[in-house]
Amino acid sequence: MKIHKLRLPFKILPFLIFFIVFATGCKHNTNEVVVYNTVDNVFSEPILQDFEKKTGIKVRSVFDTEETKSTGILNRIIAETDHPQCDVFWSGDPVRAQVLKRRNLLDVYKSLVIDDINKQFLDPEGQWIGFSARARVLIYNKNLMQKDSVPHSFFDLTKAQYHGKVAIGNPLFGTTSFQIAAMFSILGDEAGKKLMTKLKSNGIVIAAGNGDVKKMVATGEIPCGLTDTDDAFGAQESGASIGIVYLDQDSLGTLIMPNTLSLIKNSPNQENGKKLIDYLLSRETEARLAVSCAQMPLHSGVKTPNYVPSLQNIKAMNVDYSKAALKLEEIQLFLKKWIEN
Amino acid sequence: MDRELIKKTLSALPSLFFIIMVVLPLAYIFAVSFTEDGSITFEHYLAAYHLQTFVLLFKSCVLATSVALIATLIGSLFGYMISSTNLPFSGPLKLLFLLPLFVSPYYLAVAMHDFVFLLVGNTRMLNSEEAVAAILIMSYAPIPLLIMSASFANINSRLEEAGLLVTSRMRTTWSILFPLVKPAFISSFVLVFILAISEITVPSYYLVNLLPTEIFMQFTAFYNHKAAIALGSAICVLSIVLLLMERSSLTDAPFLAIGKRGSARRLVTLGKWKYPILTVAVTYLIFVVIIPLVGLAMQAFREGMPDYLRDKSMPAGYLPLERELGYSMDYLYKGFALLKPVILDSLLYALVGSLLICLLGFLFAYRSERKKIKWMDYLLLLIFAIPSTIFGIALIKFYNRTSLEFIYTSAFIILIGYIGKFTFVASRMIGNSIRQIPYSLEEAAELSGANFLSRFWYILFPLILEGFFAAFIVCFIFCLGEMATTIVIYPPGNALLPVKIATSMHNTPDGLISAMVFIILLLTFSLLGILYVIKKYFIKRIHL
Repeated sequence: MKIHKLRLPFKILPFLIFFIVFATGCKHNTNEVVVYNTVDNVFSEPILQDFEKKTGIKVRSVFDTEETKSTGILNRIIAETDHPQCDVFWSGDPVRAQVLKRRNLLDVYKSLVIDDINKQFLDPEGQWIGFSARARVLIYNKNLMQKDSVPHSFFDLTKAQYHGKVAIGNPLFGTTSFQIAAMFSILGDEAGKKLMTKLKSNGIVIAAGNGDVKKMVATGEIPCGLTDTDDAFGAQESGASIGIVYLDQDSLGTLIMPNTLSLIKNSPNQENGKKLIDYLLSRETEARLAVSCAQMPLHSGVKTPNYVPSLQNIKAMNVDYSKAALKLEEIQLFLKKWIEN
Repeated sequence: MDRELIKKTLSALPSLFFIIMVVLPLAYIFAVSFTEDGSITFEHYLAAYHLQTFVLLFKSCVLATSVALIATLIGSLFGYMISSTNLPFSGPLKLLFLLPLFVSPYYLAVAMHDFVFLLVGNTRMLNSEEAVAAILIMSYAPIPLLIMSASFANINSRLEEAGLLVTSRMRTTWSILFPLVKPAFISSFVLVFILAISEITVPSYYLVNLLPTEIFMQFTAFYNHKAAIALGSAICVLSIVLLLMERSSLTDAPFLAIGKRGSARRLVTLGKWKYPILTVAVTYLIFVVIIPLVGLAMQAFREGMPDYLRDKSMPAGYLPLERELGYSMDYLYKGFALLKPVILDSLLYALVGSLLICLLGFLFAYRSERKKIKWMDYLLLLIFAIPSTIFGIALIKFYNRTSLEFIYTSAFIILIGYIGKFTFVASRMIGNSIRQIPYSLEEAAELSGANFLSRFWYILFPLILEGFFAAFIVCFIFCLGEMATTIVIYPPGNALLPVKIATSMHNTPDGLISAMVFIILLLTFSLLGILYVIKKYFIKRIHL
């Protein structure tokens, strides 16, 4: 047997491992910023790359996924509490920032770029700052539902005519959970629970997430459903015959969910983190997010495509994001049982 | 120092390495789960375990057992047909059978969702345990197929031929063949059982509440790490019980003899059953592989959104694209552009990871099979069974400190994740091969003065090459597709292929995602082709 030559790969192995570790080790840079990001990388990565080009500050990102309900990052930040690695937390909604705020993991940063952003979208203690927003909307399949028979209020969804015709994402996760928490914080617990019970008995269809609601409505499996504007516009862009309704325009208003930026307490690159936050809060970034994923700018006067609605034309739900996030924690057990029963 | 002592120390080094790098982090967070504000408490465990938890545990066990049994039967049947009979097109069939292994069960669940909708216009029937089981069976059946094929390939044909001289084919199969592959069968069952019981994404997608989804919920909805760890311990205990049962069922497993040169197995002639069996195999493949693959390819080659329709001056409420789309390479080009920056790193990590895993797996399997040191098996199983998020959090809590930052912020952490998750797989697969080699061969060499390395290179490795290669392939595929732990620990700026796809999924057109999955399939297949050629080259040299 002439197998002594087989030893070669095993001689190479230690060098290969060393090479990999060295190669990744080399990527570290003192002039850098680490951002943990729950926004889809196809939209956020180009913006971060531009920041790199403009400032020379290396951006190292960690992204999250819908598959894990975007909680990988949050759990990671919580697990890294004693020795933070992340400088900036970019969240697609205020709930996650609130979770970190309650755990005392965020630093105060009052950016100068936010002078014309509505205070509703800013944390009063300065631990998160809102920018480019999405809205919770109802989407309907135009082939299955006429415009005049579409629900216009969240409360309409409990009517018999919509029995089994409405889909909602899993209310334990993401923006769906936040919408319900917002409703609870405005209506009160008793009315909130009554509303949810009525929805359940009206045969509301629970989907795995907003993406699945979009899919079910787009394919015509379900006539209508609740989701976010980015999903709705995404479905339209893919060619689906989808209509969008901003619910409760003559009563409670539509829930608006800004992206949020937070500086992590005791993070290693605080100064660069602040620069990145300022850059992301700029009008330029909001304009780009409006184009790429139809997000609504919170700054005034940002140029957007015609199909992106302006916040000035939508009645926004008057919700206290901190209170709603707290409420979410309170009602989670109720929601869990609501799904199971 | 005494020569024997040096030998013992050296042989204990891999175990020591594994314990320090992988087991300690988990031990640490399990210990922490018994504390609250600095004092010892059982409150998280007492709160986690109530009637509902035990109901979920029972449901999970039933589901995992069904999946493991059916997948192992399917894998064994086709493994036997492909490796031991004159079934036509056995090579291409084997490749096709392996395909589901390359795709995450989650993507398979999504593909099945779309397919069922196309078929019946309603997907609500998928929100059931049966649907979850079906997806998991499709995903995991290739594992028993690989293990059983390697095991059938290692059987000494003389034993079978001797049986055939005195009795029928059926009786020989039942009385000689089956006992010879029993350890591989049980290993396959255990592997699939644990993969099925710790799978989260499919039950979550189909809204089926099982114990892993309950653990997942503690992380995702309540951010309660300690409760999640307390619940995760049930899966660990269950795995240990399973291993103990396996041990007791294998005490009567026969000693297996291997024959290579001059005793290659003669293929069983299927006769009139050849084409009916081929039809069954092809029908299975059509449903499990061809339809999802064609669906994937059709989406990947779908025409992307033309730029002129992205006109920013569109009126409010304008629906940009209400028409049928054609086919183009657009999504494939875009998908490749998105994946390009991470392809090399991902392949390299998976390659190095699977090599390290197989080396460690061999050393542990050798100690377990030859030296009868079994305790390491339990540790490997524990780490394998532990839910990935818990494992990831354990690695963060342990390695994210100034003194160990060089590990936490480099590719080392990813390799440790791979090693922790998959060494059990390699150890079981290689262990099955070692068990089939008579120890007398090594003893003879040892008496002639051959040291361990020489015995490994000149005797053991050539004889277990099939099993070693199968283990390497499975681990490589697992490493390349691993996401649940990787997404929790990957160093910032160092995303890998599965993470890249998963983090693009939410708002990216289905066609682009399909194109990315398609590219990964092509890449993996090409690389496996190269590895297969290398293996052939090795075997050729060995048989010279």
